[in-house]
Amino acid sequence: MEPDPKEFDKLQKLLASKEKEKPAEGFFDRFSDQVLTRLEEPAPKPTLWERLNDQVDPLRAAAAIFAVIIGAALLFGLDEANNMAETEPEPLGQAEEEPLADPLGQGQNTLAGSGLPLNKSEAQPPRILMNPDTGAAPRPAKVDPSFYRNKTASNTVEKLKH
Amino acid sequence: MLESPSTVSPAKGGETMPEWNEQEFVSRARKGDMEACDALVRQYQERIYGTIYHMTSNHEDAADLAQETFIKAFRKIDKFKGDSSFFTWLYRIAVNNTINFIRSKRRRVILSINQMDEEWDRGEELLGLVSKDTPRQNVDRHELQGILNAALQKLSANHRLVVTLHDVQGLPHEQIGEIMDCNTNTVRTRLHYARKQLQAHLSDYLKS
Repeated sequence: MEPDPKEFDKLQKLLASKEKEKPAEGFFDRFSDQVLTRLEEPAPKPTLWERLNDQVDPLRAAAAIFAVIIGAALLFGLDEANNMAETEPEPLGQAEEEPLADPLGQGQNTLAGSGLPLNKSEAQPPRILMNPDTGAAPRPAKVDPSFYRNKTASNTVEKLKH
Repeated sequence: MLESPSTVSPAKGGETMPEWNEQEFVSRARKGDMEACDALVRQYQERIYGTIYHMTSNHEDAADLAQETFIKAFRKIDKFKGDSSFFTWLYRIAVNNTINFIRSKRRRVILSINQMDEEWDRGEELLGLVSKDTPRQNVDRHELQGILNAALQKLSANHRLVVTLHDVQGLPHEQIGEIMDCNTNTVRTRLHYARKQLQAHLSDYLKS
């Protein structure tokens, strides 16, 4: 929709009239002194961002960042290629399968079957093994012999009485 | 490089200077000559303040930002290479500062009604622009000023800036392009859309 020329003319006059909006009287007489007074004060220490903005050309910074990314990608790629060359697979049938020395992981201080590490500080040997010379010898249990009397062995077959 | 308006006409505000030589004052200001700084401030203060005020519609903000603009300019005057006039460079600082302020604050601007000169005080000419056939005919001068400022605040920062520089301050498209770092076609397009939006916001007051 094209603007109405009359409305447009009024709008321009309204806008032009804004030029007459002025600050309080005497404002511009004092303004320069205020600026110069502030100018003589020590400049606030620029922030890191301001210093970067002042000293670093954004185009050069972007180029440098790009170069670093490309360099890092190349290094990573070369490293990966070396690793692949070192672990080149042997021809089929010649590869030896190494038996697992400790399939349950018991030799590696891991909980057998789970792979969870054993906490050594909490695991303690049986007391009897701690101080073998302390005279703590195993003693036979005191059991009443009559307990076994008239008892058949569990692996004997009783003969049927006819 | 465009010539700054102030090199053609005598100093607008403050004391009248016999001959205004921007380059000389700039080179003296570079060496720390406070008199030259004072002369540069007096030469451009009204235009810089005006631009910022029309962007913010707030006297206090405009005063602070105008001071910051000059301080920033003098502290970084060594970086002024002379690719454009000092006036355009100063404007760029003012504009960037103001746009950053508007974007960072994003606050509702309290519209302030500032004092006007005596000629403006009659206000009849302005009120004559308001349609007599609308219920808005009883609007008074202050109200109309507030309405216009409110409509300007509804524009984006770039649209507001282009309207301020062209329609309020009367700068040519080429110079606005230099200040805003864009070509003249962009300036014209922005101006067209900004005016259309303003017309829509003020339609009740502009209808013939």
